[in-house]
Amino acid sequence: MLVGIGCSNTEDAFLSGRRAAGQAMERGAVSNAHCVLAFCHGQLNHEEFLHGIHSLVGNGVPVLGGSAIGVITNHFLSYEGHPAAVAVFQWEFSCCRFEVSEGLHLDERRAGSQLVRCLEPQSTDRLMLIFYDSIRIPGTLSGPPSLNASSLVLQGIEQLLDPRIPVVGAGLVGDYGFGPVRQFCGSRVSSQALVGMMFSGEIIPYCRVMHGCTPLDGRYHVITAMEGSSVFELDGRPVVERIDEIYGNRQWRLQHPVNLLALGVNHGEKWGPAREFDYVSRLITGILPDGSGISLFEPDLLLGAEVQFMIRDNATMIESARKNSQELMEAVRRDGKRPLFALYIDCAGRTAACCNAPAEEAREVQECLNRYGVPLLGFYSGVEIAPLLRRSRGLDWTGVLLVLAGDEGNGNTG
Amino acid sequence: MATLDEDLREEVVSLRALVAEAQQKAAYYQKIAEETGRKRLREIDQLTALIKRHRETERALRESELKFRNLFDFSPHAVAVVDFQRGEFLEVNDTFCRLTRCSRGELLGATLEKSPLCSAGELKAFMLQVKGQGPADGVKMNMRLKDGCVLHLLVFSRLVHLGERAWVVLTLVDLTRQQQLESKLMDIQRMEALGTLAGGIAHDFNNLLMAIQGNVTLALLGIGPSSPHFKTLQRVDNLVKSGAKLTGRLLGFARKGSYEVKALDLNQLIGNTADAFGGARKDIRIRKEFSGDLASVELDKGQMEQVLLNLYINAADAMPEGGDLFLRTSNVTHEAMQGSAFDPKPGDYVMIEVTDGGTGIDPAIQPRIFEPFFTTKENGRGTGLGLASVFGIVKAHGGYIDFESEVGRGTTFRIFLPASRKDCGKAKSRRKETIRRGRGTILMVDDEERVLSVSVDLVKSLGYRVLQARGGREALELYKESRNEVDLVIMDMVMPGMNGRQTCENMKQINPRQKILLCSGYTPDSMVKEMLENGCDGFIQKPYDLVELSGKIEEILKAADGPSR
Ligand SMILES: Nc1ncnc2c1ncn2[C@@H]1O[C@H](COP(=O)(O)OP(=O)(O)O)[C@@H](O)[C@H]1O
Repeated sequence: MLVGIGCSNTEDAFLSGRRAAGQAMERGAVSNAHCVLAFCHGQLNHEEFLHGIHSLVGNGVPVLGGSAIGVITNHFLSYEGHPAAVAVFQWEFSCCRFEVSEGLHLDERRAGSQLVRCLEPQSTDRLMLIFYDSIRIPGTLSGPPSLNASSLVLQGIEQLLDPRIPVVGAGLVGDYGFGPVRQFCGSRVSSQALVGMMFSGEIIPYCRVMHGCTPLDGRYHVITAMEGSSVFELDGRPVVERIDEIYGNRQWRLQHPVNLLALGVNHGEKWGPAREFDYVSRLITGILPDGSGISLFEPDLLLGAEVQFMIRDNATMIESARKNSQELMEAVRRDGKRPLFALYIDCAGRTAACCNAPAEEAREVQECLNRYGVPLLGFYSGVEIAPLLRRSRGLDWTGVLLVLAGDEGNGNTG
Repeated sequence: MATLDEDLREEVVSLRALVAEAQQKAAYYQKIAEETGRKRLREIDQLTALIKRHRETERALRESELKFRNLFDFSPHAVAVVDFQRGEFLEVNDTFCRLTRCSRGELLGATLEKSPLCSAGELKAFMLQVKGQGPADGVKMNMRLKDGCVLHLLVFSRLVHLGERAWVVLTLVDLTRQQQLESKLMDIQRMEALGTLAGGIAHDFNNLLMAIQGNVTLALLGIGPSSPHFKTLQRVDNLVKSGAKLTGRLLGFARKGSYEVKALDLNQLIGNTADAFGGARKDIRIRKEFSGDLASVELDKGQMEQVLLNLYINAADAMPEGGDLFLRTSNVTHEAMQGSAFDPKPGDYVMIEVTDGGTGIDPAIQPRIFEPFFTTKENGRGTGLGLASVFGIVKAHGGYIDFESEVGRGTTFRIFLPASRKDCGKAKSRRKETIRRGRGTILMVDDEERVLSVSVDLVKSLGYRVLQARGGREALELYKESRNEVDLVIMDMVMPGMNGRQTCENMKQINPRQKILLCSGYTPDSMVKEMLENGCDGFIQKPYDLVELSGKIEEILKAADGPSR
């Protein structure tokens, strides 16, 4: 498999696509592209960007991906201006197929199961990569955005997909204002779609989730009043009051999403040592307009669930990124596999600008992969999807690093 | 049983105590955990707020840096920041580089002495002064550049302390161009003074010539061609005439002579003079580039011919081997004169360009070429009055003249004349070449005895009856007595006491239809123009000859509105 990565940051969308694709072809020594992964800022004209890519790789080559708040490559990281990045693939033998399922906003579950049906799972399948439109209704001045739920999409997929096949992917967001998302669906640009890629054969996926949250105080709280993604009470007390107490002020009520606090569910031993990969955290998107409760990024928590307050902290986040990317690469080595390509799906809330961190956590990932010479394409997303605790889940505030590897000596990276 | 009971009860009690203790402990640790968690959250919260503020400050700093960087880079003045102790350039802006003809690379890091600025020593000495005498506000200084050019600068400096280090911020304002303009302006002012002087001399000289010419004419009339002195006197007459031409040119320079102003087609005028000139100087190829829709200009044709011919002659003289003489005309506005020494009146102008590919004018003599009697031509060839009269005439027409010259490459003279909205009239018929005799009574007024007597004799010789007055007051007295007899008044304009203008006005009050011929050797043309507009009937330039005078008198007396009485 040959992979090349290219990037660009210009307002001229056609030029941007052409430049990034050109760079990718050159770096990956790709002469005959089979597939392109592409992400660009929501402001960029996606049609023109797609034309730009096609003008170099050829019109018949499918382009998959879509809007992203920012992009990451081996040496480039940007979420300002009009960042864009692409990965161009050339396979020796066909190892990937893709399908698009539309109408996500009408029924996430149905879109999920329909996607699997179209992909016609086979015994040689190794990994399913999905990209879906996170924004059901864009945010406006008067109200927060309405989001498509990853948990429902995954439920739809699980109905038909062999549970041994990991699902990795992202809910796309094109800008911090939660404006409309555009998606690359092969040869066209669309919205409210679920795009799936199925990798099969010799490809071996390695995946790690980088966290950034730790339990605040180890106390468990029971959700005693909630509806959908809104939580009103914990332990019979208004949740808003509790959070006021924790902060010691009401500043957090102005934050969308709330900067430092999240809710987490511990899937590990209740009173055992807190391990980051045992937790699924849910971002608090903010206080409800009437002040009656808080709203979460996903509607997958249930009444009566035991949750903990999680604290997001830059030092933990950076440390986790460093540790997990290193461990992942070591695992690839240990298995005697050859890393071919890395995809980093990074929560847009993890940028240094967003969490006022002194450094970019994604730099740790860049540095690690550069040490191993693996081509890296990354982007900033709304929701990250990765297998965690025996199931693929939608995650918040995480970074998901996926490395595609092949057998040592089999296939060349160019 | 009892003991067992007892034992159990004891056990239960101690277990209860243990549970209570465990509960207390749990509550205690829970509290500690909660407090620790909160403390951690609040600390991180504060920290992120701090980082946020830091980021904002950083951004503000970047913006401010950008703002000042732009201010520095795009300043129209040359600015440099110099390390005070080491004398090294730390920063220079584009203007500084442009002004000093040094690249940024040559300057940055170089000390003042080692930099390619030749006389940086002067700068250094100056900077040392800064320490002793505080900031400099506009110290004048000359700086010689590596290419030998000397810049005239106004230097501003400030010593800026930042901790241990001290910088000097130097701002250089380039006065070179301004000084060049100023010196041009001074040249112009000097020329104006010279003009006044020349005008005065020309006036006196004219009166003398006038007297001589009149007497010679009278003598010639008296003796007839058979006399042995006739030829001698005729030669004297001719000499006086060339003398008059000379004073005419001097008067041109003094700008005291444009009166017959008419709207003219300059293209035609230039074309005609050029053709005539080209016919005489076959080695000069004349190339005309005339604007098709050139605005007309109000001017005195004869004087303009003089201007053009002078420029052609100079151009031809500058090209002894022959060459091309370019004549261009175009419509421009005052903006075309931007950057020149004069401050033109806003409006439309016609520009005449006369370009030669000749020797060019040495910068050393450039400031002097318009001076009267300044010439570089060998004895007898040049009078030094050509450009002087050009200058005067152009000025008198409300115009401007400028030139550009490069030694070895050639010279361009550029004349700007105010455009007129009037149509060009037909050129006036040539003056009559014969003496016209007539009848009638003429009152002659002149304060100069010599001029008056000879003029009176001349007019008498034409057949007219003459009354004479030696000043305005006397003339008015005489006029009141004999107003019914006087057909024409010939009035000198420059007189002590009641001058020509006042006298005319008084006469006009008595008889508004009185015909008056003005004459002068030296009168501001604006005044002549005004008087002609206010009812005077003609003007004659002193010294005049009999042909001219007789023609004018006849013309006025025969004019359409019949007898003036
Ligand atoms: N076109 C020209 N090229 C070179 N030198 C010129 C030109 N026009 C004028 N000059 C210089 O200016 C001087 C003064 O000119 P001008 O006043 O016309 O007097 P003159 O022609 O009698 O010398 C000339 O002697 C000559 O040195």
